[in-house]
Amino acid sequence: MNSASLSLAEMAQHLRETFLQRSFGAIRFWRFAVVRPHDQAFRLTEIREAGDRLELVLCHDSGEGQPGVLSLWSPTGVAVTPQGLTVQQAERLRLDDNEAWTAGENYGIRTPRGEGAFPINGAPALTLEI
Amino acid sequence: MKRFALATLTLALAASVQALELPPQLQGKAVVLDASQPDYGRAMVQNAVKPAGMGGVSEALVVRITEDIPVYRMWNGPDKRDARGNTNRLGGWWAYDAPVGSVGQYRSNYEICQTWNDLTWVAKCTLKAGAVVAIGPGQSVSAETCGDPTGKENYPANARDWQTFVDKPWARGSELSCPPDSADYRANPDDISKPLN
Repeated sequence: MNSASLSLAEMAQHLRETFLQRSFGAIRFWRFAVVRPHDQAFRLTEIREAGDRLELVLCHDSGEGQPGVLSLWSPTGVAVTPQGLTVQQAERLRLDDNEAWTAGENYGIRTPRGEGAFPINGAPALTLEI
Repeated sequence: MKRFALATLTLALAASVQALELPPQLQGKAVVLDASQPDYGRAMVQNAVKPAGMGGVSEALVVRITEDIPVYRMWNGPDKRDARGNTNRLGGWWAYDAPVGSVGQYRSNYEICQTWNDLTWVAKCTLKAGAVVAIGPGQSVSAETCGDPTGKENYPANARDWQTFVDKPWARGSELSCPPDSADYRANPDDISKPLN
């Protein structure tokens, strides 16, 4: 399957078939670790399309608490491997108070601590590491 | 190619395990497991060991605890919940050494980014005899991993203060026992071994 050419609907269906309910412990927007890697763990419980946006609904691995939504705008290049899920490119990503976006050769981030940019240097826009 | 990379990683992990020794604090309280032993996989050491700049530990021993030991974790306290309504009292990263010094020293010693944890409260739990966990020296954390564009927030690797990795502790009640959070204390930021008055 050439994942780069998948439509959003096809990408969502591919993820439903391959990554739903898989536990993962690291969430990275490019190389920024949104949460401390493998301190907590999460599962995707639902995958939705909304216009040009893919919404990954995640819950804590323990089942405690409410679901959250990790949003990706215009994602391309999805891959699921034994190590986890990567999305090679996205215009923008958001989870809670953390946001990142493509800005030419760089990616920008906004966190509760502030805003700035780092070079992309080939990193995938999103990594969910098992 | 993937098989070669996996074999290389396995050899690297095995080599690093041979280079480490059980720390004095755990002598007589834990035994080292090697990768051929059936319980080894329970430690999920592959989730603990990370490349430079990415946190976790730089190398690890997998150990079986043979005598109950206290383990400590700093967290955000009972009043701070994430967007999903959960606290971070339980998590994968612990220390078998009781917290000492200032909160800033602790953050640096254990390589914990500000966005990851406020480090305001201390929980003391018991790692039970029979638990299988990974321990090792802390790996460095880069400013990019922390999400600090100024480059100021980064932490070097620390061979002195080892971390204890308990994979998914919420599912391991027989291995990690915690009292109610009313037993925890809000730490004095200047001396986290003591409660804030």
